[in-house]
Amino acid sequence: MELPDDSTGASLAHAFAAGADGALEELYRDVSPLVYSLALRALGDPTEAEDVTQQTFVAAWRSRGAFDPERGALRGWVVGIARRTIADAFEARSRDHRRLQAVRDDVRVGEADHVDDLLLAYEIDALGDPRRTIMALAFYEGHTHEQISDYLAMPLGTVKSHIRRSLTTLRNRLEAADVAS
Amino acid sequence: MSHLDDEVIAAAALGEQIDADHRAHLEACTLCASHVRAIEDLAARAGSVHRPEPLLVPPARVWDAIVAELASDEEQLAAAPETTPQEALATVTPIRRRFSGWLVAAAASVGLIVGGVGVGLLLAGTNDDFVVVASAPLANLQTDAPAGTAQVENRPDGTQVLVLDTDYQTVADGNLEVWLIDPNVEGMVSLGFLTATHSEFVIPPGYDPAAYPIVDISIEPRDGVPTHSGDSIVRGVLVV
Repeated sequence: MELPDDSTGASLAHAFAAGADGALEELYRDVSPLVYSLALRALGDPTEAEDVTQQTFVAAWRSRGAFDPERGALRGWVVGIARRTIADAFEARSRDHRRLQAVRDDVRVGEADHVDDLLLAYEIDALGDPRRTIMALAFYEGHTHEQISDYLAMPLGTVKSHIRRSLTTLRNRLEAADVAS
Repeated sequence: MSHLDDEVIAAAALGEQIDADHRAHLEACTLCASHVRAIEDLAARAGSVHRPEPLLVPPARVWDAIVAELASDEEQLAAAPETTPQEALATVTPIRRRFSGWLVAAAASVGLIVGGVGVGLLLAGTNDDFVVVASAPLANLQTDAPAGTAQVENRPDGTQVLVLDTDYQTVADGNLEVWLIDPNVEGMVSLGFLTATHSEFVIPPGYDPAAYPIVDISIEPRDGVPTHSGDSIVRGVLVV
């Protein structure tokens, strides 16, 4: 499954902000796999992941007036709401845990990092080829740019350019999710 | 010179050679330098994450639930002019049919992942007379609209008091009763009947609000049955 390209989302973003019929459904079709998968991997519980997904899209629709299509990508905004909802689910757990006296100080930071790393990995996947493959070779498998150039029979300058642009794209997408939360 | 473009920023972050002009700008410009650092951090993180599992599509019932939840918003909006408070109260969803899914799921997951401590906001009391140890926004269970606040205060006399500020309205066939409920929606304690918009209830010793964090207001028929009717109208979850 591919994540939607940001460039195709501009008209949806305006329709969504205006509360147009069908906009939420289209958004849900595009982004719910990412939200659900993030929640499931982070929380490890399908029922909770379904709850997070439901709450995320209900909250997104109810607060659509706060979304400014000129300021950022809709997908990043929704992912920001999802991150916050996942954090709330962790907080609900930790309240239970405190009650059970089974607590640890440092866990929550790790959990937040975990969600961010998952999001980063999914965003790399969403770059689409050839960037996804180049980034996977460079970062998951630790190949040098020269090795990737040989392996893909692609000029070294092109490999480097893809990596530079991929990092810039990733940063913009992740920032959209950060601003939203 | 204008700021560096994204390609140059990324090249610098990757340790590639950049023009002397660009290099000079980067050394002088904290904004561009911060962009380079952000890309460096991102590249470092990308090197430590794992290839993700394929994305999963949520079950169809999730979309159905979203539609149902938002439909109740619109019904509420459409019905608002005609609906009297009495009618709104008469049609609320019983306690176990709402909320319990999330809470039971949260409770069931205890033991899978160790939660953090110190997450809850500890509100330091600002008044000399009491210390606020927990608080919760209240919400109408049918509409999710805000319905006031609850807070737990430790008083100088050693009592612990639940203070409710919520819209009070009389109910034709019953009374409004205030409860504290545990996250499993199994254990609960009645604190008494709600009779005013501002009400205070002494929490019986031995009942820790952290263990009974759900503040619940229910409609109780005048039938002499002391247990919860299942007809909750307002809820909030205390953050201790």
